[in-house]
Amino acid sequence: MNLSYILQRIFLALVVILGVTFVVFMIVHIVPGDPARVILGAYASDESVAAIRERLGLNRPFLEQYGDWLGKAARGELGSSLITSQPVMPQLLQRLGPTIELALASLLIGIAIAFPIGILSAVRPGSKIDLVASFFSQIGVSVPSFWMGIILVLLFSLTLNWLPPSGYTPISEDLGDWIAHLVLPAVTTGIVSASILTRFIRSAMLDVLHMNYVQTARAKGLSERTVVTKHALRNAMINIVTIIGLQMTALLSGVVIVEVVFAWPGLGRLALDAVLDRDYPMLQGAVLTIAIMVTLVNLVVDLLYFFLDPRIEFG
Amino acid sequence: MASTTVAKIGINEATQTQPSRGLWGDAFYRLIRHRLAMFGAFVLLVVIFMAVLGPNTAAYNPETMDFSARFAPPSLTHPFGTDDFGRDTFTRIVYGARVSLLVGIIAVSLAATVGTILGMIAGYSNRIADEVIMRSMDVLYAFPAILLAIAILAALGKGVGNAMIAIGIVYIPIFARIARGAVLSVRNEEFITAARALGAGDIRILSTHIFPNILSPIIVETSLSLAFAILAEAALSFFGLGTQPPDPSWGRMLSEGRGYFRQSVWLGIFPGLAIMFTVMGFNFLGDGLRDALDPRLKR
Amino acid sequence: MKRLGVLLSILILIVFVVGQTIAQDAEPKMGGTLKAAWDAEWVSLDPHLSSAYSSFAVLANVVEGLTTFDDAVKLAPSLAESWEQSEDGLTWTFKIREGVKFSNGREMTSEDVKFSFERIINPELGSGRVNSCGGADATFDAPDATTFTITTTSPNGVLPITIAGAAGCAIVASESVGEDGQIVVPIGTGPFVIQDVVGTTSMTLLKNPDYWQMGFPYLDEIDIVVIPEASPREAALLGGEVDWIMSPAPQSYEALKGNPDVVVGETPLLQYSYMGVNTTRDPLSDVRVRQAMAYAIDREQICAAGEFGLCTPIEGPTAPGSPWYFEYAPYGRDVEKAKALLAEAGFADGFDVELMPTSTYENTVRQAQVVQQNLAEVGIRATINAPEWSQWLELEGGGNYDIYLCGWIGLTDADLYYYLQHRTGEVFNFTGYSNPEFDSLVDQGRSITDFDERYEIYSQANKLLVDEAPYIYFYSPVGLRAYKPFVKGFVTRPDLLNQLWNVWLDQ
Repeated sequence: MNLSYILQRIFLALVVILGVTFVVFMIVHIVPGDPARVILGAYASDESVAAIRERLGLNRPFLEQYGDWLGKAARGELGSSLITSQPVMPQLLQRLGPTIELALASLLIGIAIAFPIGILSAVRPGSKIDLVASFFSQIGVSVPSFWMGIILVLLFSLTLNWLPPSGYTPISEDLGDWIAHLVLPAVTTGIVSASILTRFIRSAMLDVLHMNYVQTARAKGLSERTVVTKHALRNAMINIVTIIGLQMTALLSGVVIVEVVFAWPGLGRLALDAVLDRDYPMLQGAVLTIAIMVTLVNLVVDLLYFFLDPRIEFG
Repeated sequence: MASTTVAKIGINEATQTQPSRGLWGDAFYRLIRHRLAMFGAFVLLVVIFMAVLGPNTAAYNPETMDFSARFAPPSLTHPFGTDDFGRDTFTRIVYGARVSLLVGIIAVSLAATVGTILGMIAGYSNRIADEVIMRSMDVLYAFPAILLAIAILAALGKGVGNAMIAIGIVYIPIFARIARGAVLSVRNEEFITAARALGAGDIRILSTHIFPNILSPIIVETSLSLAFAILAEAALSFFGLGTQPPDPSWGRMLSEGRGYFRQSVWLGIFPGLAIMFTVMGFNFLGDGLRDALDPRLKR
Repeated sequence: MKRLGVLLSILILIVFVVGQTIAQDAEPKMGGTLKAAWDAEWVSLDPHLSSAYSSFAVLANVVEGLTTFDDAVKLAPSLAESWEQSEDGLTWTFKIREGVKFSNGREMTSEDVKFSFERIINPELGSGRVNSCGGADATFDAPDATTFTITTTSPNGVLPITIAGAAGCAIVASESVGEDGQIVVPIGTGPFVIQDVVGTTSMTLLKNPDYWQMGFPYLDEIDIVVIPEASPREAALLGGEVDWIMSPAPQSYEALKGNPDVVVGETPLLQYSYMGVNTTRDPLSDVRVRQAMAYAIDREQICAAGEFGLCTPIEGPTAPGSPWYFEYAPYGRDVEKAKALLAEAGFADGFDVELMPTSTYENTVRQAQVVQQNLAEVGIRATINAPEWSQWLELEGGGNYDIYLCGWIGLTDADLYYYLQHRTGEVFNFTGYSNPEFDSLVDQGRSITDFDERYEIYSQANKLLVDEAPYIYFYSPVGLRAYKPFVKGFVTRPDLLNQLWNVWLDQ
């Protein structure tokens, strides 16, 4: 394996993450609105605002504040929330779990739906199954996820009373409760993932099903089932892994809306609240965490790619 | 030597342009035979019809409140019911079509124009410009899209116009990546090298030789991005950042109505369906365009 | 006769015994965990800095002030047993309760009281409570362990009221202040102790075993979760996931009332919703224009849109439920009168104006839409700009608005309705209103303590204020809480003070 390629990838990822933190910092400082006023609420006299800004260090030049933050971040200190004074790091760790759980659960639902339907459509292109599948996968990507979430809550929680409408129970506290809370948000995002994955799995399978070696396998008299699972699917996996990786990154950074609708205590909601409160240490921390996770997933996908297809040369 | 090159170019240009007219023609033929794409086009025509003609024919004013008719369920007088101010939901959905389409079209035009230009420069010029542009695109792309749009809107201030800009910025990296990739695939083709040898400037090469050859992936992406842009506008309005009251927008209607869904379910159903059908229209059309423009990609 | 007497005594005895058993049935039970759902994440838990209701709904159970309000919103002793004002009106002397311990076990003395007050008025902290706690020039003294004095530069008759409770001038242990001068989790003398708080989504309050009110609190523990949307919050209550919820949606009121498995607590609130008019901008600086708007708006409609009718339309700041209610209501809806006033002011064709509600509080956006339509009927062309809270506060605080929509809450004394919002140049006077006659009235009102005398003074101030209309008042809302029938002892209070120390579970 080419180590320098991996190092190069990591270096570029670091550059991008650095860029992201700078942009976040810049936006928060351009944006009107003041964390000091958020703390004081309606009880803000000019003197109080000035005193709090001074204490939080918000009166210093922009670059000095960024440099200060960066220096500390490099040593692993992410500072404290401007609004609650609580340290940022434990809150990120507390919110990271639920976000990863939700993203993984959505991805699992997506994969569970997409694999059988995608493969079936590819094996019989143009069939009724194919048409129905492609119609529904289009609907899946066309529905606003916040609407889907609300409709699911309306149906399964408020009307049928089967599942809790929102909230979160840690897995360590009560497994059943954790699952009950997870189902609706995971289905909401999982349907979108399923729709996207179905289309990609179908096309990746179609690609390989027309390849020579698959035709050869057929000619050898192997059963269609063996041809599809042993030969075609294995070879299509390379492309499928890429798209699953992309889906995972999209889920990690894209569940903001669903987290809000379901009051799911994840990173996206934390970041959103931080934007609204102009709480830049918190926002920086959240965006940094999301960016690092996305980068890690991308790296893992690259490595998987390498193992799945040793013919590929990096560099 | 020189004359043979010219001759070669002559052949090349002929083979490039002559069948390409047929190529577009073929594409159109394939498109109108694409069942789902035509379904999408039909849905979009209805939405466009609503946006253009609806406001002149609507029975109600979308902003006029009627406190005697709050939360009226669907009926003959109010086919989609009324909202918490007694405003006619059907009228507001008809007016909202205009907002959704406008935001989608302008935001995607912005993203497509800026993104394509940046992507073409990155793909065509030297390594440093490429790295700088594409890493900046990566920075934008690394943000959770909705958070980036919210942050940009917070900086610019709320409103439909700024929502268009924010959504546009969010989608720039996608177009830049597609354009760059397409440029890379054609930049070393013979007809480009030849044009350069003939003394064509960079801008001329980019605009007359490269651009027409990368157009089809951009057209496809435009149609698909329109779908996403409409979803994004709905999401921003859902957070109260897009359209400002009392202007009707589908996302805003969902956001305003969500406290009453349990009692007045029509407030939750109809605006959502409107979004879904419009987005679906663009998705079907986009898929059809892809199949039609690039037969190799036909699945 | 004697027999009758015996019979009577027996009867009385029976009644007494039966009464006892009934009372025993209602005898509070100790222990248990209350599961409660808040409607918003708490912000800062520093009682001297925070301003969010969601924070004080926690802090009201954790920290205490020298004085407090009882369930009828009457002033009552808390960490101070008694207090008196000096002859010259400048000094208040408080007798501090003995034997009160902080939740870390340390005894609270007058030095801790002094520490807390000094922290609040320290300009470096930037607290918004300086005025409530004596003002920036006040001096505090603790001559002995049970005596505490506040000396102000001008007579202050309302100090025991403005310092009351957790939201007034809370007494905290100096140990809770961190090196950076911040309080992340306060150590107080209250019935509960904050446990397990990382972030702002869930929290546990544990019983403070050293609480000074013997036998309280009844509960062992309170588990708090945050469910921002009303429908899921109500569903969590109905489904039994939580026992108590903050603010069910007004539109669910009827359904919840009719549900035998839910108790709805309701009370008229000491709050008002209003729009603040920027009196420094033309044409809003013209009193006739402001009065025209006050005539133009339909308060019934605003109340219907804003709170589903669970509110009382008002034309001045105080509502009929308040002891400070003044029956002065000059503005019924009168479109013709409004048009005439506009014409008189030279704006017969109306003018353009921007309404500024905040998207963070959706009822203000709904109010704004009604106001917009009402104003259009008299020719005033209003647009709506609804920034989120952080930006809204900056625009409001900087005077960069035409008309903003907001509310004031927790108004337990007349001074809190009139002084800081409307006196010339005062800290929360964001409308730029200035009237020397009004100023001298509210100065006088806060210097004395006699209710009748003050009522007369504020009645005059109220008339001036309502007539000149820097604020145009909408309504006073009804407060709602909903809980399971086995939750006993909870009182939905007009000041919405969220006390849970006397709540117990009958199960």
